[in-house]
Amino acid sequence: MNTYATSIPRLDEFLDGGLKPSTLTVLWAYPGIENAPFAYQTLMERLESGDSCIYITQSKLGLTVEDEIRHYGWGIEKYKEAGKFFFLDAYSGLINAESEERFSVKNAKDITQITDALKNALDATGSGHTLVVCDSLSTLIDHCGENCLDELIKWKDIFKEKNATGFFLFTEWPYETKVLNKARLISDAIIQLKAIEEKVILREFFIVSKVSWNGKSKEGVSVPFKISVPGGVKVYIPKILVTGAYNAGKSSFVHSASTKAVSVDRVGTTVALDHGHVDYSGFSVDLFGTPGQERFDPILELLGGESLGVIAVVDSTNEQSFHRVNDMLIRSKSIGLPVVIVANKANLEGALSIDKIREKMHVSDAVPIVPVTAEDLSKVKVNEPAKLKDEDVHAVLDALFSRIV
Amino acid sequence: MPKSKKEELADLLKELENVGDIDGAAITTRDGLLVASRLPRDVNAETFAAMSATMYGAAETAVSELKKGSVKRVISEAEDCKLVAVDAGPSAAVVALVRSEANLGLVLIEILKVANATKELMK
Repeated sequence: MNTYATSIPRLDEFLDGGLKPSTLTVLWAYPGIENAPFAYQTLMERLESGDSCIYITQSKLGLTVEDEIRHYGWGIEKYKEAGKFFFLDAYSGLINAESEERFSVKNAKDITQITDALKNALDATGSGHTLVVCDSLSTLIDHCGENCLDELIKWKDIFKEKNATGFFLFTEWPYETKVLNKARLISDAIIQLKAIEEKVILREFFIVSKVSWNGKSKEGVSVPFKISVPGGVKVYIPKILVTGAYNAGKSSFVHSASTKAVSVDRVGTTVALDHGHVDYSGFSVDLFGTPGQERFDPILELLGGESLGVIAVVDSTNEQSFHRVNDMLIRSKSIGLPVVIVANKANLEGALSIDKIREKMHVSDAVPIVPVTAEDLSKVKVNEPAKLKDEDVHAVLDALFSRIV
Repeated sequence: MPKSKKEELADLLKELENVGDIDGAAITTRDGLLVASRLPRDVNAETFAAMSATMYGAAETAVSELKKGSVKRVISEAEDCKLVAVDAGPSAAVVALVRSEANLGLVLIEILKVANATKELMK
């Protein structure tokens, strides 16, 4: 069976590859959380892969949707001109306006009219695969009543016949429980978007709570996200602590991994904090690099709170630095968090092997130790962060991210 | 719909920005995470929050070594501005960007008002 990737980081893995043909996947958001960017990003990915896309709009004009998509930095015009992307306008009728779209319904409160229009629209897309975005299922229930959910079962047959897949936006307004249960029942997959407020910092995350086409989904794993403009949906980790002994290469790591980094350092040693922002493989992460020298330990305790993971940097050539790391993990209250150990300077003379480091540090096999080396030793200057090899840095980030979400 | 805490905090910062001689402000947790900000466009708010929290924490540590009570505020005087970080309860600090020619006493009263309101909100 084909799968249609959404390109939203981590989501495709949980969906076992992506959306499945002739199914109905619901983006189930709690009030106050935007779910449309998930649909925009997915439809852009599908259009780029050669699919067609029909956007059923019920609460705004097509032009407004196009503006929003452009706002995230995606060029929708060429697909519209090529006839690959078009709207099914179920809105203009409500405000007694003449629709400017190719497909529209006169009475948007009559679900059978929408069904007929959808059939016509799908006939126009040819034999290739079509993504049908419905914005939104909640509006559909509001306008057409809860019986429209029965009609949606027919839509799935239409999808099957016309090689299409449904991606529906839904906001959980206070509906009756039986309506919610029915909506859950007719969906083949559900992606829930939730938010929690921790010390007034709002964290949003998504969970795949239902996937009917695979029994082995990693259910219950929640992925924190933020929506960046431009860029779309990113997995968001607000704090990763980068710690380790003096002169192990923490600043080098923060600077090499980050798209943008700043440091407070004097004569080559960090006295307060390295802060770097990482944009990598759909992740948006802020790195907090601590000072290494013991006299700055109060700062370490201060900044350690609320991290979601730790990168512990050790100097492979300096055994003394190994014990210090354990001490620092305790001080920053990071014991128990996902941790990756970076064995820096792995190609220098006197560097210990990974197994030796593991043995000396007394860490279990479950903790990854990743060897890291500088890009060009001749360019490493005293008192300045070195540029580490990209592939090494990425290996560290991959190892850590897979342990967090 | 009642306002979320986040919106209320954003409103507080807006109020602060309306005070003359204040060019921007941010609320940060003591461990360096950004809560809310209204800063000039070219400022990276996350970095600014992390560094301000570090500055405040370092001052607290230095003072606690002296055993002379707790820190109430940290003021950094730069060439073109003053940076004023004030205590806003055990988990947060308010940092304001003040013009160098400002009357610090008057501006400080406004910043303290906002800091107190922040403290109440974040309880």
